[in-house]
Amino acid sequence: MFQRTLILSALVTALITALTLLLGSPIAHRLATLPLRYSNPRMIFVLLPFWTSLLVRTTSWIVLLQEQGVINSTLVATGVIDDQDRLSLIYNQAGTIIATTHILLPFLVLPLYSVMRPIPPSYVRVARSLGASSWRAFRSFYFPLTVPGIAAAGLRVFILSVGDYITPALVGVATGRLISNPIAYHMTNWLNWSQTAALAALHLGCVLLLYWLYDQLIGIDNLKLG
Amino acid sequence: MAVPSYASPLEKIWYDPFRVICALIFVFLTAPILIVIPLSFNAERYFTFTEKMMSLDPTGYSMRWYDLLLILPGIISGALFAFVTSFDDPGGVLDRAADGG
Repeated sequence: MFQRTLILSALVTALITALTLLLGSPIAHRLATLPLRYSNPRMIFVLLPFWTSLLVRTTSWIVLLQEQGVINSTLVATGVIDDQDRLSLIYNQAGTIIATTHILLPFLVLPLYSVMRPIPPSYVRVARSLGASSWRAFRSFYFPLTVPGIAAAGLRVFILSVGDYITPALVGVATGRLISNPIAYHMTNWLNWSQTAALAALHLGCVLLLYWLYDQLIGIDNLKLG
Repeated sequence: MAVPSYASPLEKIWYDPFRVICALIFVFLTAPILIVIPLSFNAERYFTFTEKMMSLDPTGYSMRWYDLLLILPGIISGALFAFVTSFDDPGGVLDRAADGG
């Protein structure tokens, strides 16, 4: 039972990290390349969710995703789906993935932005003027310069989502649980502290293993947190 | 900022869709938070947009959930009054005196 949760939540967490990278890097790049007087007003779109309480954001996802919620009602009203087969977007894996992705997106965008901002636009311009294609300029100049930011932000999102408790507990009730939920369950329902400690140690061991893997692949020296 | 002059044709085509995608991600970030504001005017207790609200019927909306904020000064002043008067509560003092404390 716990093995299944462990493997499943590792996969879900990897998916969440990939999704935040997919959604976060375009806007980080856009914010970093716009002139400051245009990018600063747009920054509020990232900072507003960053400053809002986690509970407010989770409950607003319940409003949006539930069976009678905004997304389902809109889909039924526009005739995309029938009234009988409303999508079950919440209280399962899908709910956990959507809500956690949204909650952790600012944690990815902000460090990535702070790494992308100081890169002078002239680097890419020089590469292009020397005859490099746009893909070559990206691959040889822009991407290597952003790797420390991508790595740090990705690791940060991964660690945060792997230990996330309250969001999966609220929007992923039955099947959308992550590792922290069975740990909390053993603690609060059975008062089995030794079992809780064992599960938590296992969780910590997995995270340390990932940290080691990360050090081997990218190197901790390359970590740049903002 | 416009497309730089050295951009290839593909980059020029891609520029506007990229802006739209970024705008959509910004909406994804903020819309779930802002949705709470219209929902606070719901006349029902349910945590969803009712049919009346969807059809913009005025009876579907209400300010009733903001009433708590209007009576909040009363709650605070009442608590303060109770706290101050508890300092010279004769009943409590007599009870404790009878117990020898």
